Amino acid sequence: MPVEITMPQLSDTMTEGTVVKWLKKEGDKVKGGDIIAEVETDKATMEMESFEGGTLAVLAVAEGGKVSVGGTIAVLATGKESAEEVKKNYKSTGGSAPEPVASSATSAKQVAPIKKAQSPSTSPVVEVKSESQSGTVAAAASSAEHQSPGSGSSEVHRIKISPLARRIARSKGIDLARLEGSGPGGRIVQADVLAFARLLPSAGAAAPAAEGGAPASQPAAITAPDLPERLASGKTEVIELSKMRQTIALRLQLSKQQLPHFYETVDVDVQGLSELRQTINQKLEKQNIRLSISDFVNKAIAAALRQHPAVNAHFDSQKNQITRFGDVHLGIAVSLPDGLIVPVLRNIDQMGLSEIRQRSVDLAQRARAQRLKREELSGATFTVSTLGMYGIRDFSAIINPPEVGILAVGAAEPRAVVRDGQVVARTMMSLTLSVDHRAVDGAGAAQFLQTLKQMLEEPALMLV
Amino acid sequence: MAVADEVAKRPSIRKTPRSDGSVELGYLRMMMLIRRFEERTYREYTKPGQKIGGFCHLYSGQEAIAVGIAARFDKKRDYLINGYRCHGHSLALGMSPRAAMAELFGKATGCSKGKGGSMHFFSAENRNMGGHGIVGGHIPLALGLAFSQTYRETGGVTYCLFGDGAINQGTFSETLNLASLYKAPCLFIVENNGVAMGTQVERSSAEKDLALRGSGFNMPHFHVDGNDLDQFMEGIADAIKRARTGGGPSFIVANTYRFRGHSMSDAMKYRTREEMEQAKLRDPISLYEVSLRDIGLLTDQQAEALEEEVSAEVEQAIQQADADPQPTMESRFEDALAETYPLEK
Amino acid sequence: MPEIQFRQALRAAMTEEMERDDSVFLMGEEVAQYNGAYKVSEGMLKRFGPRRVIDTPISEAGFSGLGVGAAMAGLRPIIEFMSWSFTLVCLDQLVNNAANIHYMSGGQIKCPIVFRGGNGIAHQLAATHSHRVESIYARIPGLVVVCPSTPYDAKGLLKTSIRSDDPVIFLESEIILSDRGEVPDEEFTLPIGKAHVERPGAEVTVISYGKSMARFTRPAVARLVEEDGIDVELIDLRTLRPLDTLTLIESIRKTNRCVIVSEDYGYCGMGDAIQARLHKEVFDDLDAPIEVVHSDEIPIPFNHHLEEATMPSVERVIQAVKEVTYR
Repeated sequence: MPVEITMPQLSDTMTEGTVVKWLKKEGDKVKGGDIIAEVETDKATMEMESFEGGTLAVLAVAEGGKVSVGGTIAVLATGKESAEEVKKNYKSTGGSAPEPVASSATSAKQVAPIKKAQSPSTSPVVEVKSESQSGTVAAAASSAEHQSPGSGSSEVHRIKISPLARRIARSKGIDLARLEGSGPGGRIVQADVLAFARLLPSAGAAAPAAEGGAPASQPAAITAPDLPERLASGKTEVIELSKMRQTIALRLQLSKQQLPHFYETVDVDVQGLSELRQTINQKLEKQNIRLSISDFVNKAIAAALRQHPAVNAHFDSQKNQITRFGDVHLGIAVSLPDGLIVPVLRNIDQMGLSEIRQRSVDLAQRARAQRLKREELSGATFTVSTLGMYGIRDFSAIINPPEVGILAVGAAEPRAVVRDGQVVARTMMSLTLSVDHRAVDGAGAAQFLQTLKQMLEEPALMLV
Repeated sequence: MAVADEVAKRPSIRKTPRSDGSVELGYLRMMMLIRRFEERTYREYTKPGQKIGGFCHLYSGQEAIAVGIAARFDKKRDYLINGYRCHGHSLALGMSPRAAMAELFGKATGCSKGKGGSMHFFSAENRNMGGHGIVGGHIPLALGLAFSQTYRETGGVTYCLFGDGAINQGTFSETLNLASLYKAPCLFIVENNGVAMGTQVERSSAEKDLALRGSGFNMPHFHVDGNDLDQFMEGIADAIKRARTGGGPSFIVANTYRFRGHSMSDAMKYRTREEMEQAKLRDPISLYEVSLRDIGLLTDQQAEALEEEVSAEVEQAIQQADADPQPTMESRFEDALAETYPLEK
Repeated sequence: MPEIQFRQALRAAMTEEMERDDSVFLMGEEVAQYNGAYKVSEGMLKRFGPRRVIDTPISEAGFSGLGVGAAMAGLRPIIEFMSWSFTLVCLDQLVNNAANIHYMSGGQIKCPIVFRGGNGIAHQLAATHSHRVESIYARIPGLVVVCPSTPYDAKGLLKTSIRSDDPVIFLESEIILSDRGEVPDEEFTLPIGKAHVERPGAEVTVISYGKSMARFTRPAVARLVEEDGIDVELIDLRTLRPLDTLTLIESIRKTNRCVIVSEDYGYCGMGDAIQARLHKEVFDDLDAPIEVVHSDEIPIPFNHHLEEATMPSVERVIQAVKEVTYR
């Protein structure tokens, strides 16, 4: 049977070889191990031997011809068949012969240009154009991709938050935008989230309701889905009251029992104020100060209290006295992991907005670190409590005696309101004043709220 | 006949058969088996389809050394350790051609479970402590094996094989010094085929007489013929006896010739055709065949029959190795460590 | 319990194991007649004779390879290096031979050997003698890397290392060889591959090992707990490979903060490597990035003050812990 001698794989990386030189010619007799040709690979020029003995019937490739690995280079007549016969058969089957013969010299020559066709020089128009087009499209797509989130929400700056804090916030359904970070560079850390979480009224009940609310309205499934069994994973905890908790319990119970509270709520349009805040904040960016809505509210409270000293007062039932103050010392409720504390911004009525900002951040941070001085926790003439950052629309606070009033500040949020007979969206905020009726009557309280509303809706009035 | 002339030149070792010839024919058969295995390996490697990957160094032409050591090897107490040209010795010590070929194919049934390849044949059973891929890196290991033989007083000998390239590594000098100090029963055998890859000994060793590279360590150092099986076995006999009896190590230069390139992609441009033709006259198999014929231990028919036998054996090994399973993907995590951790003992 | 030095604990471990098993022997530069460069093997030649306590010439590649070969033959060598810095001349024996033999032989040949000696920055030995090799060896599959920080750990871990069928890189430190600690007389071993929670805590996990543990981390944690009231969980790794990631992950999931202290360099160093292992697992539990305290990235200077400043310190550890706890 004739034996094909094929291009050997002479290195790991070799894909084709060139027959540099034939050392035997057609018709020569060869023994196993005889060198028949020199073959150039990607690494070196090597001698190629015949593994079998016989007569070289066909040299399938001319010197200089390339053959891919496995392709036939020569055919050997072994045994009884004659070399001429083998050569004749080989030629007649030529191109249509089964695979090994397909890589003969001629087809090998065809292989080479096909490979080159991939380079631009052979088919410049098609290849280059399509390449550049797809390149442009890709670039455009990627730039659009980059722009869309950027341009759509350019005002949303990235919130720095630790992964743990993010996870806790998500599990409690807390909007990250409402959190303030105490870590380096304003990073929101675990302590910040927990502090806010503690302020959330019945957070435990609210979160599951929000998460699990949907299934109730869904139609009943026809077959029971294969759901995993629920195992009890939480554990019941008994907590001894801390000193702080005991104080809170005692004082607020006393207040709610002995003080005749009444409540007045006013809705304030703070759209202008929000815009003003943004403008100012842009100016303050270099100083690294970012005013919050609360800072404006506190500033307005101080100014309004100056005009309505009846609310800026202490009630003394022992002495049957009311003391009205000329200065405003504003108590600001700050939540702690285990309760709340009310540090006092003394003489807030004499402060500008940035000072209010810096002092209240400082007080809040030190309050959470439990590093407030005793005098920073007493002497408030009025108190403000803010839950807006939790999305609370309005709520009623309990007065901290001997003070006679406390203002509960809700979230600044877009609401549908009527302006000139039209329903329009405005940024609104609800303020609820709790008042001790022993010291202040309904009208007096209302006048204070009116002034406050005016100042917040027209901030310039604060300057008056 | 040119080979016969070469045989006639050699010193007379024996003129009459010592045995019925079965032992001698066994040596011849093993040399033939190694040659056939290596030549078939060359074909399998160069076949399209890459059944054998990576580096592959063939032993053709140096068979007398492996077979000579195996002939003297005490399977109960000796050790052999080798460089990367390790197919021949592994077969000579008893590895099946199938386990060897399967390793070249990377199969699970390979002598190293497909984790070592051509350069890293191991057989603990045959006390074959491995082919080692880093030139000279295994020489200190040989000392350790020999040290254990002294420590346990087994009377065993360790055969440490390496090429002429390895003697220029620092480990060579460090190990020979230590081995002599500790009187380790070790034979350090250089298979001097004259070229470290493509660098001739003249260009790599300042001392042209390689045996002298073993001087300065207070141990015997000498040349032996690495192509003539009888001479080689005779040449290392004293060193073995000396090692077994507490005399310490020897350094032996076995001069031979590599018929193939350093590895598969070596075009051997550093050799002339004349040199290679000359070397083939001292082909260890031909030399041994002629010498066996001279003393009437071998007939032409026997030689042909042996050729056919080893050829069939290697073909069968290739077929089996080909059909053998690939290692499982999970097996790649096996054997990185011998213990499981945490380890409390 | 009697108090003994770190070096005595090492000697006790080797002595007990050599008495228990004849296949164990000790070899290295100056281990026999000189009684050990750092007196770890003092008296062992007298006790066991020259067959089992063997001096070598200065040929690290030669005698470390000898150890590997002897281990392949079933002996259990203890190879002492005067300094791990010197193993840079014989890396091939450890990384290519010791680590790979079992794998490349398809599990046929084991390599039960212990390489031990002083690692890291000693005192004013300058750059060539101050290498911290843990990250060089701990990255190699096939090796086990152990690094004790107390005499008790040294004894328990060295005994287990000698009994292990794997090659063990056992890292000591010249600086802490004279440290004293309670070590029981009776037989005990400690597990390889298990970290030790030395002080449970809730606020921050501090991880260290070896000399860094003894000299910088342990004193820093004591101060952080006492002076700053920070509830630190202190973990001694004991084994660097295989790393007990489970214990570390469990701890960080609890404390949400982590500091790793290592005398190695930062980039490509042990601390960074451990940190990388942990980050993905604990990402959602972290309240601050994991902090790595390491040596400055320069060759170790000779001058005492410069050398001190280059290494981690109690202060650096305290600062790092405060950083991750936002104090």
